[in-house]
Amino acid sequence: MFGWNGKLLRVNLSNGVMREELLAEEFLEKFLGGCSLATEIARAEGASGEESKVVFACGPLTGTGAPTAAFCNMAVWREGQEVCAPVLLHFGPELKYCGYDALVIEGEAPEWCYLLIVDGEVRIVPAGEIQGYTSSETEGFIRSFYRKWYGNEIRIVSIGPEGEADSSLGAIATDGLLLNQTGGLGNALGQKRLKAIGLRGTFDLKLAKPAGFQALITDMIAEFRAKREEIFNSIHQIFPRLDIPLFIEIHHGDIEKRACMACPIACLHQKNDKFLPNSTVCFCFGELLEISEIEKALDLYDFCVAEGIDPVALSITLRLLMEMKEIKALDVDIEIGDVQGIKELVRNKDSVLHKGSFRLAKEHGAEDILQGIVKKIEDMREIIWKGLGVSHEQRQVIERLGLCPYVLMIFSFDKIIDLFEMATGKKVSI
Amino acid sequence: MDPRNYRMRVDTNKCTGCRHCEMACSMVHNQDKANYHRARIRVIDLGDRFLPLMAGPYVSEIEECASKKLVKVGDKVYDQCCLCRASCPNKSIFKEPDSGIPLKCDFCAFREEGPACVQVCASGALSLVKIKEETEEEV
Repeated sequence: MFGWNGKLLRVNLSNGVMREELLAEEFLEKFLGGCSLATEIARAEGASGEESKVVFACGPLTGTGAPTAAFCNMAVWREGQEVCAPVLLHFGPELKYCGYDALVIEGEAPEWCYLLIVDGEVRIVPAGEIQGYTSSETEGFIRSFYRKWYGNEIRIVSIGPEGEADSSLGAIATDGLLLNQTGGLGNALGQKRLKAIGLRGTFDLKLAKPAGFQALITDMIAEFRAKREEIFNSIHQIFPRLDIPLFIEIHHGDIEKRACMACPIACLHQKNDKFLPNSTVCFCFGELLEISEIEKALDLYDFCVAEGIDPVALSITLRLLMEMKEIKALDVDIEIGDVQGIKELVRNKDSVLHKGSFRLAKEHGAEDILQGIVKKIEDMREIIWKGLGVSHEQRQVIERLGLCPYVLMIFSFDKIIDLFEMATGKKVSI
Repeated sequence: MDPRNYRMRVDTNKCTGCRHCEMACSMVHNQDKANYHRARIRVIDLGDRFLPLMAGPYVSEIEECASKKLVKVGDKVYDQCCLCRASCPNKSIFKEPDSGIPLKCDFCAFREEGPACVQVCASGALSLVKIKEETEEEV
């Protein structure tokens, strides 16, 4: 098998049993990777048991060095519904180097712990002291047991205090980056008393036609470098159409670019060693919460990072509450643009806010309002894709291969398919 | 390409930490395997920046190691072990993961096109400089 490892690791936190299972080639060829594979495994696991299991799954190109091939998807199958989101940066590739395409976590640990898969050894490490830690404190704690250069090679996903609580807003973070749209997924780890997962793998990923694969990547990067200015200009022309002044102001000036594994675009931005909110978060803060001042927006984002709250889920839920308050369907003490009030509402663990938008809309018959809010975000994203001439189907295939869909901003769909065929020796079935 | 005539210029301000260089290095030196642990270049995360580090010669820790020192660059203090290019008994970086044999950057002398890491560096953090031209420029 090329591209994939053909193996799944199952970890039961209740009894500490860890088991490697083989994944059939036909199964992997059918679902490829990404959310498609993660939700399929989560669905199958959910159908066989009563409790929600957490699944991480990678695509065939993840970790191969193919441009932007960094995605790993985390999925949970809960109450007959799938929840799935991509994990960025280097966690997905590291899972592949650990020798697995997927990781299934089941059971509930007797005490707070973290899972460590380092150099072929899998350990559940009890760590009651990290309860209440922020994600960056948790990462620092895990890495503190190693020399600095080694510790930094351990790729970590973790949850903050919100993920530990009974909430639908808890997000996951990886290597200092808070992942948007992972609201609720953090709580899936929290329910298992699993604070973090750390990975460092040393296994090889074998490719079907390595020479051709590497030659194609070299050509693609050369093409990117030749057209670099042109490509970035075309990307920058899209942002004025999105009308997100907060994003333009926050990302202005002295920013440092950070890339996920093998990504030439490096769309993640940092200032003073802190990740900045991306376009979706800025849109949510500006459009849904009507926050127009940079200081207020960054203050709220820093609060989300410290607490481990998904800023997109928070914005959607707050907007829903505001609109329900307007039609007098619910009485909540919240004002538009009031960051301090938002923080207080979040800190109140009995607040309806923690139920999350989906449950709140269902309970109060406000599904239409919620749909309208979510559509605003989807419409904003559609402007980006339309601007780039990328179809929905192409994006889905790219995501299943383990690549960031933004790769289509810089390379043709056909070249990505060529990479897949050289990596796996298979023809892609779309 | 004769590697003796060149040196690598590293611009840490441009490095985005994508680690394309590591993957390209491992692929060209190991034919069919993608594994950054086999690479002779590693991108070290220093917290505030990334440092692409080419494997230097093997050193005996007892005689030559200076990694216990801290290095101050501007306002920041770095652990010298993170900046050190050497393959040494003290760290598993720049060693074949299976055999433990030390790895050393050979500038991809066997490739007409030159070092693979420079070729795939999309950010321009890595570039090749001809030593002779550089000397003339400096003169």
